[in-house]
Amino acid sequence: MGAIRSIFLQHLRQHLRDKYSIFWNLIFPLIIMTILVLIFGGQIEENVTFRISIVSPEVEESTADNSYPAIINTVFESIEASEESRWFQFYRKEENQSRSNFLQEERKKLEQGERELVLVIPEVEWGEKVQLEIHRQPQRQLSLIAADVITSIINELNKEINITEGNISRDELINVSSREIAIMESESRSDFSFAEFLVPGIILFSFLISGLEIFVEKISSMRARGILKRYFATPLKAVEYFSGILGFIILLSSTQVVLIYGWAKIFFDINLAIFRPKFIFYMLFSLIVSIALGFLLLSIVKNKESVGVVTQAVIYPMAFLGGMFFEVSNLSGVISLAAKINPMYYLVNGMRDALGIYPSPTPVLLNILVPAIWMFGSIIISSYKFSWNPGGES
Amino acid sequence: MVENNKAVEIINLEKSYGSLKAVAGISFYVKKGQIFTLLGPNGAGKTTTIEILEGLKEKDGGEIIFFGETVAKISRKEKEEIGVLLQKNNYIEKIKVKEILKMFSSFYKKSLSTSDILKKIALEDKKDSFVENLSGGQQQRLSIGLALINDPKILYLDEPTTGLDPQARRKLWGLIKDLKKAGKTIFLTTHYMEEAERLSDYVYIMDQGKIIADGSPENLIDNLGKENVIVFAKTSFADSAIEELQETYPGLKITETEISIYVKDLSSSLTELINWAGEKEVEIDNLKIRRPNLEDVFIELTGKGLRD
Amino acid sequence: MLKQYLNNTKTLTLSFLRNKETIFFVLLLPFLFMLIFGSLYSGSDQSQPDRLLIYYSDQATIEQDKLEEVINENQSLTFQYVSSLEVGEELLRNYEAEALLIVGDNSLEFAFNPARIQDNPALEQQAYSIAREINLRENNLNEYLETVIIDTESATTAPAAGSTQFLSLFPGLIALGLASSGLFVIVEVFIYYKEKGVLKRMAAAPINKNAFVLALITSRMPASILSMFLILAASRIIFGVSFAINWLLFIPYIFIGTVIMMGFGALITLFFKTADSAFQAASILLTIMIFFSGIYFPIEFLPSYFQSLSRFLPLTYLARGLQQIMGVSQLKPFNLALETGGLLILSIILIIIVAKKSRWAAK
Repeated sequence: MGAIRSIFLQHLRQHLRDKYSIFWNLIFPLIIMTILVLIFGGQIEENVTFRISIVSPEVEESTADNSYPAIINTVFESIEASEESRWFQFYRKEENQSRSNFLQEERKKLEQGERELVLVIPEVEWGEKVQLEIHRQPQRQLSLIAADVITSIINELNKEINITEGNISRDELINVSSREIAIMESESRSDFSFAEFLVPGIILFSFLISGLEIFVEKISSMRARGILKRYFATPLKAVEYFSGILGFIILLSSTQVVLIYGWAKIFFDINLAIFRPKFIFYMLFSLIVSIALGFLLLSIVKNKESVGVVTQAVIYPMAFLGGMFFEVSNLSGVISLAAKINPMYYLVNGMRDALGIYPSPTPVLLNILVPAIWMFGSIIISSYKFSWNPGGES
Repeated sequence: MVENNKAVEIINLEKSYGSLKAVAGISFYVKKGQIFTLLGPNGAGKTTTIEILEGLKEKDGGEIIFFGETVAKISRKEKEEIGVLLQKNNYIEKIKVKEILKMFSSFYKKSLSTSDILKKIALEDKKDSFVENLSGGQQQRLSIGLALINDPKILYLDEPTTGLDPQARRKLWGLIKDLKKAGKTIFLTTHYMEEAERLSDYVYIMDQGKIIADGSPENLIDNLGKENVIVFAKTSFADSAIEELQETYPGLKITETEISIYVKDLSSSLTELINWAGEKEVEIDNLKIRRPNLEDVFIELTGKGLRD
Repeated sequence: MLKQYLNNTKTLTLSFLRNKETIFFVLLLPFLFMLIFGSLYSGSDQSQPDRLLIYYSDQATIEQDKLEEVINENQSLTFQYVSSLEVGEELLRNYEAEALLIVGDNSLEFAFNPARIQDNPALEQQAYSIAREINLRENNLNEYLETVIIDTESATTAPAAGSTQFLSLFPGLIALGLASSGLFVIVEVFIYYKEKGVLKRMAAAPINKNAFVLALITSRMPASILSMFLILAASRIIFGVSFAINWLLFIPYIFIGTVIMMGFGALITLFFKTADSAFQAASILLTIMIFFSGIYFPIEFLPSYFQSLSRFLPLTYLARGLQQIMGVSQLKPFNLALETGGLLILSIILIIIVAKKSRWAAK
């Protein structure tokens, strides 16, 4: 017991004294999560302002107030005055500026990325059909979104005009709505939250790093420098040594889980029951699978320099193609195969299912079976190939 | 009675790596309370032998008798009684001296206090330093400290002073001698003949997996039957002159720069040599006279130098 | 001087290319990310038409053939009928369809799977355009207001097929290769070599320092160029995309980009004393740059404070410059020249400062 404790303490001390380890293991997963939530979490609009130029016809006293261009103008003015104005910043021409001059200037700004959209309202006679030009810049995502938003505003407007003109009554119009399906039938969850979707993925990601990076890195570096050899010239048992390191990894992983959960709870307002036995089972299982994979790596790759490189080369595809950060079920071709044989894919599906965030696209049996095959395969190969000695000699 | 005197004995020990016979059936024993040295060039099989005795490698054949008990291999029970200094010593970073001592002491059933060890290896003022910040000599003393932590019956020191500067080396020799005085049995491997000569009670000379000679350093040197060595520079010697010398002194050794002649009677041999040189009109530069050492023993036995 | 320069270049190049980590970070990592993100983006953007499920409830008032007519006109949709809501939702959950259209009493309801964050906005837009079309036909609505989308044309090159996010990935990855190639060199040579005493040994030889520094800069170029060709070739073979590359700008930009990243590495060495901490800092910065430079995700999607952060990262400018030069976005010669020139001058100054400041000998 004393030996296990001191191996555990030594690794803990070493880790705590190295600020870079702390960054990579504890801070980095939080950064990744934050970036992904900010980008995909549906909170985009809150941070986005569409800069839109409105090129209206020259206002003449004679033009009737209820001409379509005038109506459109009124609508945009009311948008500007409303709550939604923070999404939009409208630009209009100066009093003494000519319309064509303004249009030219604004189009240039659109090209240079200073505007997301230029809306041109033509000069028309009363009763004529109005053709509105929406100028956008197809290379820019924001510009594409702005064009969609403005198009749908104008479509609504068209409907309203039809009603006003008496072409149709409001009841006769086809009522269009959209909704998100409830994705867990058993859960009484109101909304899908991307942050919640992400939390198990980030937890699994940090476990994968623990198993493949920390565990492998520590052992391979100690093996290469003959430190392990020195340990085993004492009565220290291999099982004691690993228990010590495992203890450290479990502590580290628990800290990671707490940090990730706490961070997501505070900043992204998630609500997850992470203490469900099923989820705890998946966490433990994932950690063991990750460590078994680490052993496999240590057994196959002997040279320390190669170990570092191979580890990196394995972690990225495993994480990104394992569906930790995005759904990968709709991938096709060879790359989908990389997802289908990836134990992480099944583990993250199982975790999300267990938390009631998202139903597993793969059968529950496979969620256990595929990682288990990897785990046992790794253990069997490692037990033949693993070596304590530098350079892998036995 | 003799049995009681033996700390460790091996009989016909064998170990191969593939087709290479690293240890080809050697036998020896280490007496309690002595410093026992396995001397030989790199690749002689010293480290393989010592690592089998440390329990890091398994033998292919032969017998190991550990303090009177025949064992198949050195297992945990024996490791409790062994102190080890490996050829290369590294420790994990960001760990302090006292912490690493504490950790190693937790590996053993019985252990000495860290403050005792720190005192012995004269690192008391470094106990809060990180291991990676110690000097080479200090790190090596720490490694010896770790070897002592379980108050072992026998200490294995594999090339303890390789890579150290002369001052650090002398300091370490002092430490090893102190350990002997304290009654420890010490098993040493080295390829420095000076180290073997200064420290050892008994020396086994090993080459190509075999023991080629043994005895106390004095005995080994005496057995050469030569009292003195005359050494001089080879520079100005023509091949013909060397041939002639070889006829006169069959035991003559030539290296790239030096010629050594082993003689019993110094004064007559020296006169003879100088006369010969005068006749042949060759100059003898850098003439030195010294006592023979273990290196000379090794050269005599194998025809090559320890560091060749 | 020339001979020293050539010899140094050769030695430094070989030592760099023989390092496994170089191969990984400069060649393999951008390639891996290309496979990963390339498949993610191309998978959701262009591969197959979206699958629409249609459920006709008992109260449905819209005629089936009218609905089919409208949907059939939309090339990017295929559809099938489902017998119940439950079946439809189950298929959505299992990714066997993209949207479910429920036809009711004078109403259309579209249901989506919310986990498909990448696809949903586009799907929703599709849904509304279908509804609008049916409204127009069914109720003989007048189109008083009509919209015409006008895309501003690029001055020099037309963007290749496919979505912009997908295409801008490739210049971004080439920029990443340049970053990996250039970023670590100054740290390695002026801190690590110094610690190891290699610089001291060199200073003891009658070496021309300028020749050495020039050789150092040159030695990274083969790796940068290899990485660039790997990405270009792989993008063509695997994803079938080709770029309208302005080669006259492209090749010099590969060199300049690498030097700019070296300058950034030089900046890092000014703040860190030991090789270990400088390496760590450089790799942390590289990772952060990857996320905040718009390589994988558009910068515009980030909150404004992160957008301002990206302005301080040289990789942002590198990726943007390469996007312009490769015809993915519009070439703005003036801005490009200004940004690139400014960064290049700054980088050269930083490299000179570090080279001069370094005493070439460990303490």
